[in-house]
Amino acid sequence: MKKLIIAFAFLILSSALFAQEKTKFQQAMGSTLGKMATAKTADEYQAIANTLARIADNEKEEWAPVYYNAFITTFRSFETENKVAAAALVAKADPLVLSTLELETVKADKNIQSEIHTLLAMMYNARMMENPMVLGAKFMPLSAQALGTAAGLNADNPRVWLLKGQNLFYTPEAFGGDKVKAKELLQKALLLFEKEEKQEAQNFMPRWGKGQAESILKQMGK
Amino acid sequence: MRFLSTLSFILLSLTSVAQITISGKVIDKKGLPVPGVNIGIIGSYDGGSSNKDGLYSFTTSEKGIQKIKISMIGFIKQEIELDLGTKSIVQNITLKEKISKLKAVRITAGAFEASDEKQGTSLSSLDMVTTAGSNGDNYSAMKTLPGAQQTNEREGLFVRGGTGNETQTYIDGTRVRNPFGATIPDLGSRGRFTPFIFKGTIFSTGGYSALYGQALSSAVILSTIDLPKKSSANLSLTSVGIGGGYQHLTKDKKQSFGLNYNFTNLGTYFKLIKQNVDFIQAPKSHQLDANYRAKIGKTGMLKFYGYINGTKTGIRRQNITSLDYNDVNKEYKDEYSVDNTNAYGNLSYKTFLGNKWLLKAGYSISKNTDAIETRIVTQDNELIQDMNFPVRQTSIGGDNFFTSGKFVLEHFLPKENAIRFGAEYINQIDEQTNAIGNFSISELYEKENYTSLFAESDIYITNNLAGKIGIRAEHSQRIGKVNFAPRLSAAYKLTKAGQFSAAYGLFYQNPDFQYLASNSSLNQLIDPGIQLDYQRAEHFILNYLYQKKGRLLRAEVYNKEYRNLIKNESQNNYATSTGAGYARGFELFYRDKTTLKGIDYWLSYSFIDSKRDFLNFPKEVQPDFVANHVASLVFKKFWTKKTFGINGTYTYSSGRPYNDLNSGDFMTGRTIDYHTVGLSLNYLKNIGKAFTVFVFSINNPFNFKQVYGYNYAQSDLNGDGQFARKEITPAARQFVFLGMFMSFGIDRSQEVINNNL
Repeated sequence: MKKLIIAFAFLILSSALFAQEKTKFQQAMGSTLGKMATAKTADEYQAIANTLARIADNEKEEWAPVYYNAFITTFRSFETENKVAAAALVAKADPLVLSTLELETVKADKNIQSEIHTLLAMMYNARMMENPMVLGAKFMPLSAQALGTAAGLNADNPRVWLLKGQNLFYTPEAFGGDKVKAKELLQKALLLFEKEEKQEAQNFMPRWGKGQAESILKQMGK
Repeated sequence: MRFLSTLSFILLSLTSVAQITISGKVIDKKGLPVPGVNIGIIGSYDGGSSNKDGLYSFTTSEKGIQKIKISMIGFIKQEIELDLGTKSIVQNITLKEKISKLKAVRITAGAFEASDEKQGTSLSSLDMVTTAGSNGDNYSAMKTLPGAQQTNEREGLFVRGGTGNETQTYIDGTRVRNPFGATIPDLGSRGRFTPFIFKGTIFSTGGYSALYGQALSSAVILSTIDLPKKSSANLSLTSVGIGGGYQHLTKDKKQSFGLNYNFTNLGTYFKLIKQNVDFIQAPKSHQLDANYRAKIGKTGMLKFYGYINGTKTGIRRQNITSLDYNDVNKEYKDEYSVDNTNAYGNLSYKTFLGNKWLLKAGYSISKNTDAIETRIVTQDNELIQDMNFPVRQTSIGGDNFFTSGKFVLEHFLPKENAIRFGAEYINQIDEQTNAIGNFSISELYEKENYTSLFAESDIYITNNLAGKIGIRAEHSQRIGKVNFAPRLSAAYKLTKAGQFSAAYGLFYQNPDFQYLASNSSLNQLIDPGIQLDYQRAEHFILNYLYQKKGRLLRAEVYNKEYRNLIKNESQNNYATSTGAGYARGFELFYRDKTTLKGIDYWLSYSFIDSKRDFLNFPKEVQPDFVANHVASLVFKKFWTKKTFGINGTYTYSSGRPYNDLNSGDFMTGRTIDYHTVGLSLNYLKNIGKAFTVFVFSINNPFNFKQVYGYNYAQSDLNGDGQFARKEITPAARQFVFLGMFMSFGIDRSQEVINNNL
């Protein structure tokens, strides 16, 4: 399911890019992200992550290769059985993602900042999965804080509301979860996703998440 | 536009004619393929990734001498140069594993660690407190782990043939002099510290680091929590007391302070549920604690924790010597009451000095005062007038003042190697006055200055082989000698999941102050007394650990030799350092979080063979605090959706020796086997803005009869050649607890449950 969601997001992304003239960087990014759509095995995902790391090595001023590299690591961690090793990989990506917030291009664009904080929130969630009962107390507040910052930077970022809703949905009520409110937030996310689809994607701005919102809403029995 | 991009595409395809392929295989030192390795030309996007067979292949149009970077998490980065011409290149690569904390073998001999921050520990800090039957006492939870005895009638943690005094507690590095609350003989005692102020616990049953001294058998190493996430208030209401507190976090999130007050009174509970002994004063205590924590600079952390506690309790129970009259009219009662005041403060500071040095410093101070009164009374609670009982009324005043300072400097070297060294200083003054009736019969006074230097080095040879070498030198002013205690340990990883560790060490501990004091209190001009020596234990430990997917198996064998234990044949003689003994055994621990869905359980088993000749023992025997077999089963189940959980513990211990005065031989009696069950239920609910936890727990619901030993009459009053006796049992067979814990402002769910299950 998740692979489909990613695939969907990147098809839009790469087709949108195709209409433009491309620099070497854009071309390389475009084709690498395009490969994510068809990736199935661990080897394939690792090859994509490695390509992104090589691009990042050469393009120190770009946030996108770091963002997508961490994004793959994080998404893969939800599917891996070895949660300890996966959480360690996500933890390793944390300072790299944080450092993109210092880039001039990112400092000038609140929407990108909002996306990066949202990714950070998802990374905290991933690290918590190593031992939710114990690590929840540490990472849940960090995740909530990152989402708060992300919402402040761009309240129209659908992924912020997706993650907020998702967190409320998966948290037991006694620990502050709320299914009713989760539904509201996910519906809000869905509206924003639909709005987002109508606009053309630019500069590798993230597009993922719509399918995920739909699938949770479906689980709730709309 | 379209045209341009088509053109560039054609141009690109043309240049690709000049491309060459670089391929090969990546292996590690053992020759096994390494998947996921990133191989790339520096300064270009060109590169590839090795697959699950270690094979990689990529094309490039770069020419001439190029640097290739080969990188992979967990391996040492490599750079090689290749001359790229017109022919394809096959380049095989051997990667060397990087020594990393994550992969490196850990030395696990002797220690059980509960931590949330470190990976791969046997327990989490939550486990320490959600263990049913422990009723929020760390030490009770540790009794479900192998190595500990079920000596619930005594104060302290009895580990691997050692007495309770041989276990020391350290908080943020410094030793705690009075970790247990006021005690009534035969009724045991709880730890003074609430588990919820600690983020990490190490329960070491032997072979511990050179950083810790003055513990012959076991070290309980606790580290306190850092800054809280939010400000919060809490309130509790239970069947045994009330409590409340507030914790504040400043706006810049760099400082926090808190204050808590707890009042405990078992009076009401004892009125409802009958006890085996008659309480003149049910245990009643007031405790006020305070904390301050601050971030200083970039890496500094300053912490203070302190409390003051006042506890009073008193009982009346059958006098056993009078039972020997065999006459109902001459059955007396013992009265025993204690009034205890205890104050403790701990200040610690930790900071990085540059990025290669870490400084940890700690200072602690404590004062403990006990006033103990005993009387032998008639059934009408009048002081007896029976000449067969020369000692009818005593008072004991005890007072100790303890300060300790310690620092450790740690220097980080490449490849996870490290050296650390430091010093510790302890000053303590002990005073005790003993009076019979109104006559003071003895005054003991003992002052001690203790200094210690220690150094230790972590040595990582490969990810699979690591060692630790340490040495500790101690000087006690009172003993007037320097001791040297070497500590060695090593670990070797056999497979990904299994590893061996071994530890060896010498451990020294001063004799208890009473012996030191009474040996010197006589007139030294006439008689110099006997100089006592450090008690000594030598530990050998071999440990095997297997860890895979939520299952953990730990097996350990050990041998411990005691020397220079205190011998004190009668109170009129000097004590000597001539006692000795041994303990050896094997232990198993199995924890499984995966086999039974949603149920987490652990099993522990200890076998011990231990004998010692110390105190007034006439010969080397198995002491009355050692049971040969001890086993525990602990399980935890939490229904997240229903926010409801059940925890249970079953503990078995084989019978322990007791000294049967009516048999000719020393310490030949055996008590019945010991069984106990602890159950706790908890339910979490939001009431308004308060996050609330309801707890119900019961110890020994199946009403097993528990006998810890026997007390005998001190003299054969009726002259029939037999001494009357009575079983030592808990104050009640069962203990029931009901509580409600509310917190405002922050979801303290985890902590609250923990604190009180």
